Amino acid sequence: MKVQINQHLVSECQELKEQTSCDWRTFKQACQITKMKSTQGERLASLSFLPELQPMPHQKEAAEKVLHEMHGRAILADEVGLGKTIEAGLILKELMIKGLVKKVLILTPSSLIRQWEQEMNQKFYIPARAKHRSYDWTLYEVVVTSIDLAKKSPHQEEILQQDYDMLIVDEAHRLKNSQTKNYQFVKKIKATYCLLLTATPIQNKLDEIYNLVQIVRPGLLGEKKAFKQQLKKDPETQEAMKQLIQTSMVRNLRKETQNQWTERNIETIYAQFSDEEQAFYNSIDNEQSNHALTQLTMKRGFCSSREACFQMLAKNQTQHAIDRINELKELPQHAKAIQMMNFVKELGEKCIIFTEYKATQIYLQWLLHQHGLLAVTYNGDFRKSKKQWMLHLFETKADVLITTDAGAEGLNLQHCRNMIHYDLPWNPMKLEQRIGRIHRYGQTRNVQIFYMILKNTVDEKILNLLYDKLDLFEGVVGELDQILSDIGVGNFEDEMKEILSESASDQEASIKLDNLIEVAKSHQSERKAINETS
Amino acid sequence: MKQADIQPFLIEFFTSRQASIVEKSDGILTVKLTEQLDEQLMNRPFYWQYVKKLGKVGETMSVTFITDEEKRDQQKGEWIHFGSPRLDQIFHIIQREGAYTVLYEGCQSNSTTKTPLHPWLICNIRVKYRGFLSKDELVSVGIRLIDGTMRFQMMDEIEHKNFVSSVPNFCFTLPTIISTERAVERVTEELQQRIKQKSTHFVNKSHRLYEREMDMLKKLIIDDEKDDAEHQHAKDQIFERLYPQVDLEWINLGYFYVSEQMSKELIS
Repeated sequence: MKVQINQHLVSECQELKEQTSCDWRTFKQACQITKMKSTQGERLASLSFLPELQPMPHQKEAAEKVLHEMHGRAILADEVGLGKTIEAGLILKELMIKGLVKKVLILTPSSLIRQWEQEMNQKFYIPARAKHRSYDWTLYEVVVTSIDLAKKSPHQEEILQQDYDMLIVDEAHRLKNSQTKNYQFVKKIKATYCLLLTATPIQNKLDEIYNLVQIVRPGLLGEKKAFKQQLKKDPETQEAMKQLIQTSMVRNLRKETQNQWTERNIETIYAQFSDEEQAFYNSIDNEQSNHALTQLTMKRGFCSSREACFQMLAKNQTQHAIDRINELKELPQHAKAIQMMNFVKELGEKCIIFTEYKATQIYLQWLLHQHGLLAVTYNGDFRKSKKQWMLHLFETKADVLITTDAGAEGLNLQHCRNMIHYDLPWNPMKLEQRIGRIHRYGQTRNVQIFYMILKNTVDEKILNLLYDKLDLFEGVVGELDQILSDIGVGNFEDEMKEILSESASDQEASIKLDNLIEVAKSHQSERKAINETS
Repeated sequence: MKQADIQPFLIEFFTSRQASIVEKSDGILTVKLTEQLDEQLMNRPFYWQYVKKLGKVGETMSVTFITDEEKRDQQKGEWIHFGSPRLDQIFHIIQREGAYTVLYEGCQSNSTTKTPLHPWLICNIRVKYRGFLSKDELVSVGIRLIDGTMRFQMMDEIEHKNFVSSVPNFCFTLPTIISTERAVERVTEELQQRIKQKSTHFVNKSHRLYEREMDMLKKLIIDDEKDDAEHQHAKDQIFERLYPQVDLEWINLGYFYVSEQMSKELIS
């Protein structure tokens, strides 16, 4: 076997000899500095420069792997809450210390700009600055900004003129579609090193991973057509493709790093509709005019709040809708909301409440306020500064943060340990995303998770059907995205809705869901078997 | 080196280069630069070009370096830490200046017996492995320029010895028998030999992965006619990334004249 040795030591030594001779101390220091900047074995040089930072083993390993085996171009795809930012920071710091990286562009959703700026400065002593309109792109070496700003003219043109040493894209699943402007823009940015961060590298189709790999390692997976053809072939080829993908992707799963985590306790809290509410709820079934799916959506809304239900009805201008709205107005305070409010009071600790509806958000805030609890809201519609302010209030003053899923992406809220799922999401992956906000790197206490469930409603159905089967999903949840796309079931949420609305009985729905899980699991054990034999 | 070590390091760096310390307290250091340091560090070539053209003496800058994070807000100045561009700049200066030396063992001698000093060439070389993983190895080889005897880990041996920049009194240097070029050639040959011997695992694994990716690439190319340049680019990329390669780079090079006693110690 051959190894190629590149050297011009003799000719270069002539040049060295023309220099002025230095003193003994400088000669020694030159050696020490080179040593400091070198990769000695597998160790990270940056760790000795960051004495306060104590990365977890999987974070160190990820950084080492990206630096030494992936040559600084990779997809960091750890599950939520495992500290992808820490990994990216370590990699960046290491390359900066070695003098390989100076100019850096960090693209994040705008809600996370401040967080990145702070973490880079405080944890890594990396002088990152958020881009501001008052200065030029070239003023600072390390710039944090949002894709939305960066892709606008004239910023786009200016950025594309730069030669960056490192490009970091957070929440990179936004780049999964190669037809979008975001994708095409990021693909054109010139950077020697490149990190894409995402907890969900594949949401629906394997194509998506192709597109991400195409950014970090163009050409690695060949042409798209050929890639797709290969995937349709035998499992062996598929496995080879996966290994190929793994040469540019790091993915740690929570269960693999489990022993380092604090405990997670899950509890269900039941509420019961008042008679009037129950009557209204039951009458939704009798609305002949509506499709089964619409009825289901309406029921879910009503289980959350009158306001959420009102918003749905208000879209229709029919007499029927107006009558229903008038009925709604007569109803008392929502039973689930009251139950939850009492629970939060008893709890006596800060907590985060997740809801699926913005209308519910406002209602809950009002209700809590009426009972002396200070609640702040948070959702995807807020401007950046408002988001920052709300988070600040939650950390310093407020008792409760009420948020939607759209708002909570990427947030670090480990200062809080209680989470209430006021509405249950269809997709267990979403649940994991939510819990990851508090059960993450840096959480020191055991976390408490609560489900709020209305008895004899769709809430309970979802709980029984889906959440009681979560242990069946055990070991699949983390990979659910991948498995579902492998077996050609596009979207878990749609699948669930269909099962629920089209089944004649609960038993039927349960059996259908069991089937889905069975298929997912058998598919997974196949994958495992292949992994073990290879 | 830790954050706390930066200030002493800076003080040494600046004083040994004749800059004057204006102010020094815990975590804060103000230095009045020399002309040379100003040109090297402050990046204002137009100013110096202008001043020199007019035949005037330029005004060098004073810089305040803050090494204690808590004092960042208290005083105006540069926050200096590992990974900061300024420290890197200083490191580069040292690496550049420290690339070559001629030194003599600082030995005590009296007039009655003149001490001969034996010539050694010290080659400090960075060995960069690139393949399935990348890693660096620093080697320090000393070669006696009289008989070609080689010694590895040379810097570790002499680290605590005293060397001076001019021939000490009552000492004289023995002439070299082996030329520098020949000596470097021999060091290089020896190094290549050693690298080949000890890196079989690295080489095998890199080859295996290299070939696997190349095979995969072949399967992925459907239409050989189309866009040949792109395929070649993909092949080149795989080669660059995985084919086992080793780069040898100079860190620095020095002639060291040492007493017979030390010379013997080094060989034993």
